[in-house]
Amino acid sequence: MRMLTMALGLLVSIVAYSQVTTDSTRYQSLERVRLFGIGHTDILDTYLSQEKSTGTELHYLSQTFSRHADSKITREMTHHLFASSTGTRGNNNSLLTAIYGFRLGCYYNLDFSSPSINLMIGGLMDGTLGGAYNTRNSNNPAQARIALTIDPAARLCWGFRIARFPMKLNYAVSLPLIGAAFSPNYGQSYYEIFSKGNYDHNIVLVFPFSGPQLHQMLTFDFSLFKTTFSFGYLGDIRQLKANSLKYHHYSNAVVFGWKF
Amino acid sequence: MLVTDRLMNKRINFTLLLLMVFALSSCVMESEFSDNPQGNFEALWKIMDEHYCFFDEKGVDWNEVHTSYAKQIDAQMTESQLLEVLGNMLAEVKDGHVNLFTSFDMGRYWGFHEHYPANYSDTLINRYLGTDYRISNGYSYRILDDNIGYFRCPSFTGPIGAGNLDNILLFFQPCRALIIDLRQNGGGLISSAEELAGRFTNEEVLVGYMKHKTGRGHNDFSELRPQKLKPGSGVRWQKPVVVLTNRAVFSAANEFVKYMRCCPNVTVIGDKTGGGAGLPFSSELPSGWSVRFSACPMYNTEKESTENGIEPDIRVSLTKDDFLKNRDTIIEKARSFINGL
Repeated sequence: MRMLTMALGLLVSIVAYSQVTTDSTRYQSLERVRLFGIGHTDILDTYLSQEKSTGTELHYLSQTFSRHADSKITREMTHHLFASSTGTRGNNNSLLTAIYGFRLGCYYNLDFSSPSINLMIGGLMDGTLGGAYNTRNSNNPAQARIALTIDPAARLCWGFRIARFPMKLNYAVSLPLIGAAFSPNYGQSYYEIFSKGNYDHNIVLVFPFSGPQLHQMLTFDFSLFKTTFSFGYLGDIRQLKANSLKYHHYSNAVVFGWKF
Repeated sequence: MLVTDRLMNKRINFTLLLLMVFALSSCVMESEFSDNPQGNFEALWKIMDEHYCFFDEKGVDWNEVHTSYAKQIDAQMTESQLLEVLGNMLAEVKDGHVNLFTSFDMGRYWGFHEHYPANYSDTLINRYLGTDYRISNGYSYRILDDNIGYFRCPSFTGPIGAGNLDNILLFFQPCRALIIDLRQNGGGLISSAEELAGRFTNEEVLVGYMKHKTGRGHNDFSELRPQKLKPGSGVRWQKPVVVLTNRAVFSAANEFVKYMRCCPNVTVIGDKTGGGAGLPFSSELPSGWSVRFSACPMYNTEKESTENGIEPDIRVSLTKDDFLKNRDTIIEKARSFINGL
């Protein structure tokens, strides 16, 4: 029930935030990014299996960056969907995973005119909702992924020209610093948690010593046919050691999309 | 100046080394065993060592098991030979919930019913059901000649529909009592067992306790948490009920018997159940073979383990004489018990 309330609260805040950010007339700059990605993923979840699972992962990212006129503050809203069908050494396609990540961020801008560099330093509220399903297990077939963290974050944008063509390199990084996540206890079944309501340390602390995490993305923007295209690399490291269970989800993907 | 530079370089190198050590040690990884007979043996032993919940109750020294079975592992052994050794190792815990699944066979321990009389005959059941019986949700049922409802419940592997149960119990409405024949029910969904048992109580009742492992140690357990059976929301049975059991009643069916013993007007007749009171979890070996093991132990209201089965209120076995006369001794005992009420 507490988790549901938390999730609903987050949803309301996202809706409210998105309504604010769509009013483009108030902003000095408003940049929307849509990226699709494909890459490799490596998932370990000892609640489901002692074996790590690898395979192909698909990504979709929707990002909005808005900056008020005469303001040093940029706000970010990111929706990140990624899904995979992965397998272990012995079994192909035995783990299905789908995760929705959302990030609400606020940055302070440091602008340099020569060269044209924009450094943004700030923080994110970083939420995760999703789960994994193991197609072979009995009473531990699935694992929910619910987390909320505060991440220090930075973005570096370098605008330059080659011949007459404007181009831009962007690097964004964030490190989940502190927060909370859901985890069953070591040998606790979801039947016990949800059918019987037996909670046992199911909300755990997330901090660097429970498993350092990192989100980063490097993209290159270029203009073609009056459209700004963007391609680059997305790296995502999610880890958690809690209740004697181990989890990692490493994603490396190539992304391609456009900005408007 | 040169000395200061060297000192500075040393500090930078030391800091970089520390960062590298932190980064490497920070990866959340699990030790990986090789995909060969030795690696699969060690992986299986470790999974059981860290997750299995009945070592102490069954008095099994798992380290000793490692010592004796490690000698039987050979790098050249075939998959069948490996399964035989690993299956024998798992059988040391004598637990029907402990299995090793491969694409060609299943490692198992079924001694909980194979070492005992079956107390069950399909031929006899078919005689009692005849041909004019109803089928709903996979369950066969009819009204016997002496106005006793007979409900054959061979499995809990699928979910039970509330509408199906309403229809079945309404059909039995004119009956004086109900026989639930649970024999050969090897279990399935514990929620299905709860759904059915909930139709036999009008109030929430304590039916037992359960706990789960909280760490890798053999005795790392949570405290016991009560299991409560809630009354079903549809039609509820108010008259006498007899539950028929044999040694093949296992797992969720064993839980069902445990629940029913806490409900009013219920009598259990037949043989002791097979047990299986550990909610099973699964994991995987490097070879891809799946292993299933008891992970969450469950207990009765006296906090006693039901892993080794539940005794009936009235113990009855099929007799050869009755079998030759086409009579099921256990069903007949249930009928005479009901008629004597």
